[in-house]
Amino acid sequence: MEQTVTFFDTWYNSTTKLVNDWREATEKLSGEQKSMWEEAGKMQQNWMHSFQTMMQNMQLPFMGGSGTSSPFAHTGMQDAFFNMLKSTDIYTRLFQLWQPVLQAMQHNTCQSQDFWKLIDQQGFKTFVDKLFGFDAVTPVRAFMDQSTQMMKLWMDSATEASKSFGPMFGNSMPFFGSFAQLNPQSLTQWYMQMAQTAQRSFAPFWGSTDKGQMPSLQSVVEMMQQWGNYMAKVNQLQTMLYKQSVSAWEKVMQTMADRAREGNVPTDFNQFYNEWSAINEAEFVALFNTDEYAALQGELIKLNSELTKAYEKQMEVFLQPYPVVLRSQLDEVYKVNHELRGRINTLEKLVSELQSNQSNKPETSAPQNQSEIKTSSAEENKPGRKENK
Amino acid sequence: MDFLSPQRVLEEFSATTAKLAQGFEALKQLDQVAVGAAPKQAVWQKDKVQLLQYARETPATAQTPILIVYALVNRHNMMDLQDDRSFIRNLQAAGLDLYLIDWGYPTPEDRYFTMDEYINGYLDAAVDVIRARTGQPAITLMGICQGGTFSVVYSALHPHKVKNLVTLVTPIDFATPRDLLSKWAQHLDVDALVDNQGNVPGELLNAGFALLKPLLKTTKYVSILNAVDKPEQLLNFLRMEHWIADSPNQAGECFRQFVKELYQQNRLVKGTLELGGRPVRLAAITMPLLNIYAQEDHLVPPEASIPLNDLVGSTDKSLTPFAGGHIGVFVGSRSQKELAPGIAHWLHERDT
Repeated sequence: MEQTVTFFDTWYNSTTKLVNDWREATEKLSGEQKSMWEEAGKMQQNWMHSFQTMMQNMQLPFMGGSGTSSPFAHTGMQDAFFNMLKSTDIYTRLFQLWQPVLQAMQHNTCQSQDFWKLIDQQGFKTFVDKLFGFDAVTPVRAFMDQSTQMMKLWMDSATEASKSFGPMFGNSMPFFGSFAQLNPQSLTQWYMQMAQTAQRSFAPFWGSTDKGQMPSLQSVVEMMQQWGNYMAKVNQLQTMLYKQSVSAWEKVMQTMADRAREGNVPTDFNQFYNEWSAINEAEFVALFNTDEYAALQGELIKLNSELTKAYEKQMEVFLQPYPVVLRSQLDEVYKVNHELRGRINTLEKLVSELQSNQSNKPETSAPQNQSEIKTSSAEENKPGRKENK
Repeated sequence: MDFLSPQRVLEEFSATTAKLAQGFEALKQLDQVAVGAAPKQAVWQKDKVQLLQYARETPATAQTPILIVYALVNRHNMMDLQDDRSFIRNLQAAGLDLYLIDWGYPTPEDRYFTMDEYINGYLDAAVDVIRARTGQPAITLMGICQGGTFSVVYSALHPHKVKNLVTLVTPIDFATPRDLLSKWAQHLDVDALVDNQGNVPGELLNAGFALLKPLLKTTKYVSILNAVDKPEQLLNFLRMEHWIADSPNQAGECFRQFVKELYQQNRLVKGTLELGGRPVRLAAITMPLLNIYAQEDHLVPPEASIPLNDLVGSTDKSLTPFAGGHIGVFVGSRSQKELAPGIAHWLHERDT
């Protein structure tokens, strides 16, 4: 607990200090435009760095609950603060990205053909990823990490087998960071290649494994393949969003240029943001209303559910020898319970109808299966209510 | 563009960060925000479903009790966010005797519950409980969003138990051009989703709803930074956020059927929907109908709600547009003054 509270306090103190430093710097540097820009740039970077650290820490597993590790009394407040951080991050990044363009426009040096030269492309990609949550720690990411760890373990014990797979992972990782992934075809191939290489790499290892364990190894590789398919589709979706963003940003640029000619430029960044936001939202909604997008989204949801299921199955294989109740077994119990409950309901209705007919009353009797409740606050302690999020 | 001067940039960054730190301090002081605080009592329960009755200090001025049927998606608390933004309290103030069916939070054991069990099971049982408690042979059903669809289906199957039908922002025609959810549903392999996951996570639905207005979240959180030093405004904001995040999982089989037979096959308007082995014919709805839709609804576009009035057999039917969005209809300031009193007036006129 102490460590986390200290971490938050540290963030709060350093943020407050940063604000004070900026104020001081502003006073000192007034008039010296060039050095002032450098200072402003440095401070932006500092701010972003502290911001990122905070964001990353808030996504750590120990921050997930409402236990003693969080300074917030309720997880809802922690979520709200995280959303404030994330939104401010996006807002500030947008400013950073557009700053050179707006400056060029201000000095009448911006030509539309130069627009993308003034935008930091990696920053643009990161921005879109953040806007749509591709940067978030997702269960798939956690699954990927677990699988990678498992693979690494096996690779350590099967040195020869891992030779072709290891370098592939290592050598190809920088590829992720480049803009080449805007081509979904190449990435799909890359993922498939990776999955096939994984299969080849582990083939000798399976040969030396006990029969009983073979299906789980096979399943892991199948999962890796499924993961590859899923990530390829995610990448297609990202690409779609990047392309739509490019189109939206160009529209914003055109709108700004038109307005500059009319002498009607935004007077503060928030005004610019609102204009940018309205144009972008309309563009994205238009994209989301296409069959192409809807089909891809549908495929992603399907692949994600299949991956989750495959992972569960695999976990059950691992857990099989242990005295635990498996989810698939519980599902069977739920199914039987549901059927039994249905039969009881039918019988209760029948009894109710018979009683009603016997007493020859109009059909306004309460159902037999009702239970009167005397609680004053029905909202509290509701059955099945979710835990604090 | 004066805001691009280094001086202004520093000021902007400085101010934003200061607000963020203030926001951190303000949120640290707050406990869970309370929503749905209007006094009520659970009068019946089956499994996880409860029937709640809202407490009244004075007798109701309308004889016919009202059962509010909210959607399975999200929670009914949106209708009672806070004392001065409460559709429920406004209906009460207008003299109505209110009940609400609370669907609860489905857990994995509820994955096999079907639409038939929700409508002909829980909802029918709740209606019978109210009829028995009040001695009224028929009640008013007031359905909201998906709860409106359920109410329409119920009224078609059990017309003798429904005296009046009120629907708000209710999808009936699931295949209209501006309906983004409908577009997405056409490409959803709902069998794979339900077979693989059982219940459908509330988070998945929330992620979908967020995509309908993809920039909204960022914009509203940036805006709220200007109100971190205004406790009332901040609390209002947090109550709405609390409601949005409180998204129950959906019982798998019911979700499958709702998506497949309504969103994908549009069976309700085609007249091919069956429930519990009985056909659902909208023409069988002959009781008075008040159908209210939101003019700027991005979740249930007006075109999805409006056709109901042409499909029912009622002769006494009203179609009322209301300015605002899907949620704004219930929480907006105009709603507080006009929506509930308008509905209550319509019901009083028919309370004979």
